[in-house]
Amino acid sequence: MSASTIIEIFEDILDVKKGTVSLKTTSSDIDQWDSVATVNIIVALEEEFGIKFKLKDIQTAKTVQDFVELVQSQKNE
Amino acid sequence: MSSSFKLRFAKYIDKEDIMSFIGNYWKKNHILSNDKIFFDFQYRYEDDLQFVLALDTTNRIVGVLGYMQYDPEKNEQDIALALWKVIPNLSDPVLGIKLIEYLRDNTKHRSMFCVGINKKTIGVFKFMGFQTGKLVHFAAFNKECKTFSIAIPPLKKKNFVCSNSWNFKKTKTVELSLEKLIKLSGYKEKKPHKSKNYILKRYLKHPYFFYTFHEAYEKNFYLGLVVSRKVQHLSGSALRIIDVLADDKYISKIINEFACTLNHSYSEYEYIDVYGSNLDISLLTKGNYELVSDYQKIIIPDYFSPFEKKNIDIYFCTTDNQPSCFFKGDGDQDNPRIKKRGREY
Repeated sequence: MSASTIIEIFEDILDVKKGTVSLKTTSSDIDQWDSVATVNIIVALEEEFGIKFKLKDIQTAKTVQDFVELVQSQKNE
Repeated sequence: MSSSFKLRFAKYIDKEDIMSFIGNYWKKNHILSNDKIFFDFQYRYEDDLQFVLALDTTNRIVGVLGYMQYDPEKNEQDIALALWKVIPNLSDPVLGIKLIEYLRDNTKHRSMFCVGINKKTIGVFKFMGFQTGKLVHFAAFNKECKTFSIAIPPLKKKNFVCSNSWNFKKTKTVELSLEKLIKLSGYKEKKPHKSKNYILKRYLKHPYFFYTFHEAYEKNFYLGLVVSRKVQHLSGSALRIIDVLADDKYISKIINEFACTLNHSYSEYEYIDVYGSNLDISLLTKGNYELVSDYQKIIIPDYFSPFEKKNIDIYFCTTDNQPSCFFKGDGDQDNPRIKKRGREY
C-alpha cells in the first residue's frame, strides 16, 4: 500500500491534474470534492485494497493523510 | 460521531417547505416545486408525505429523500427511492446516506431500489450495499414509416416476425384486467411487486400523462398487461412501453410480440421503444427490436418536454441480489419535469 496510489485514486475520482492532490489536501481545497466524491473515493479505496470502511470512517476523515491512515488501519485489522 | 442534524418522516404540513427546498436546491421551476396537484399525486400517502427530511438545529430543511411504497399495507413491500438531495457543504458529509439508512431502518420492506440514479452516485449506492446497473434501451421501427421526426432509425429496418398465437387487446376496464393480473402466480411472486392500488394510482390517476393498457394473450392465455404512452414531436408520434405487468419469464416475449402492433393498430407511429432491466437481449435483438446505442447511430429520445434529440442512459440500483425487471414506469421516472397546462392526449 503506498500513499502515491491513494493520491492517484483521489486525482482520478476528482478528475484533477496529476500533482493537484497532496497528503494535506482537504475537501475545501478542491471544488469537485463533495460528499458524493468522498463516498466514490471510499468505494475506490475499498476495491483497490480489498477492505471495507464504516460510515463513521467517512465522517472523521478530513485530509488525504487521514484516508491513508484509515486504509493502513483497515489493512492491519 | 454525533450529527447536528435531525431526521424524521415528513407530514403533510411540510409540503410547502419541501416544495420550496426543491425549487431552491434541486431545480428552479421543477414541476415538484410549483405544481401542488402533481406533488400530491407523486408523494402524498394518506395524511403523510413520502419523504424523509433532514433538518438543522433551526428546523430548516437541509436534505430530502422522496420515496414510493408499492404496497404499503404489506410488510414485505418494495420501495422505490426518488428525489434525493442534500444541501452541499454541510458539516456532515454523509447526511445523504443517513437519509436512506433512516428509511431502511424505519419502514417495513423487503427491497429498496431506485430507477434513474445519477451516474456519479453509483459509488454511493455500492457503498450502501446496493447492486447497480443500467436499463437496456430497445426500439422496434415501423418499416412503412417514410419520415422520422422523432427518432434516427437504423439504415435497414427489420421485417417483423409475428406469431398468430399472440393477441393484444386494448382494455378500458383496467380494474378488471388488474383483478386477473394479481391472481397470476408469476405476478404474485414478482419483484418489485406493484399492488393493484399502486398501479391504479400510478397510471390511471396521473394528472398529465395518459397511459394505455393492452392485455397480452398467447394462445388465449392471459399473460399480463403492457402499459404504454404515446409521445409526439412535430408531425411524428411514437409509442413507449412504460411498464410490463407480467411474470418476468414472459416479459421479453410480450415486448417482442407487441412490436407487431406497428403493423396494424399503430401503423402511423414511427417506433415502439422500451427501457428495461433483466430483459432477454438476444431474444429481442434477434427478434423485432434494435438495441439503442450511439455506437449504432440510432437515436431514440427520452426527453420530450422539452424535446431533446439524444439517447439517454438510465441507471438503477437495488438492494435485491436477484435480477429484477425494472421499467421506465418504476419510481419517479416517467413524469413531466416542468408544469404542464393540461392532460396529454
